[in-house]
Amino acid sequence: MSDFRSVAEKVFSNKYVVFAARLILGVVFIYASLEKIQNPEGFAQAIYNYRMVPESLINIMAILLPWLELICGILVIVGVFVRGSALLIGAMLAVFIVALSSALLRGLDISCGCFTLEGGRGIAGKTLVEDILLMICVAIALLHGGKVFSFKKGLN
Amino acid sequence: MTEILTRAVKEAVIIVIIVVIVAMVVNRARDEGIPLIADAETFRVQTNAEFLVAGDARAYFDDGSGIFLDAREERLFAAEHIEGALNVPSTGGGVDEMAYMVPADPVLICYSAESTEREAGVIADKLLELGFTRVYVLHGGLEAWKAEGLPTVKESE
Repeated sequence: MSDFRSVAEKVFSNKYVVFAARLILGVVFIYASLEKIQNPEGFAQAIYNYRMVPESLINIMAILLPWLELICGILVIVGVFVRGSALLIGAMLAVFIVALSSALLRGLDISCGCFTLEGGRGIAGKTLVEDILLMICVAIALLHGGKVFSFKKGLN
Repeated sequence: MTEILTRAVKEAVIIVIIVVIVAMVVNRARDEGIPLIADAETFRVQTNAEFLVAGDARAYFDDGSGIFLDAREERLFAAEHIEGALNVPSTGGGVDEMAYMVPADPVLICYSAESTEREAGVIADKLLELGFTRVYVLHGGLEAWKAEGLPTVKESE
């Protein structure tokens, strides 16, 4: 058992694994942010459809969230503020997981608003599984930060 | 571990401050920018047409006197739609074309998905402008229709 643990620790602290985790998070979050940034109104509607956020907060969320996704996505790849970005990405994922599960439980047939706003795919358990896998990447990035392949390191 | 978290939280605060500034400035500057607080009507379906609940729409379906118009995009229409419905995406010019094809002033029931009900409102308003008078929006969209156990056609069928 302790063997398994030390192997897991080795794997998760391997610099390529850590960088791969950061790259996955970064690419997914940058990609997810682009259409929302282009179409804040559509994203606001997608948030409204979840019927979870008070109407007065919807627009502020629709303005801030995509930029948070984009900037965290960039930082986590370039290796600057990796831990902070990973923490924020983790927090966003946690919110998404709660929102998606609640929509699933309430049987809302709405588009998930995850990557595209118009139509797109609906909410499915699959989306949740993806979010949980991303959460593992967050844990790796949070623990090991930007030790490798980091612009910051080059600057220091 | 606490050290890692403290550092992460500090960095996160800085990131959030940057994000707030960038997002607000960009939102302010661009044409697509939205108000910080949406007015109450923003998310409602805006249409001059009357709403019809699925149970009432059913009567028009059963005796074939109503024409169902699906305002969603083609791909979603192909995946599933109300039996016998025509696809008139709200973004296309299909409404005008369709106007030539239907008999004089039929009952037109526009629908989309519940979450995109505004699309149904868009084509309903176009139809009213074109002079049709018996135009309705199916309240709750395709989901409400299915919830009543009414028939749809799926891609695989």
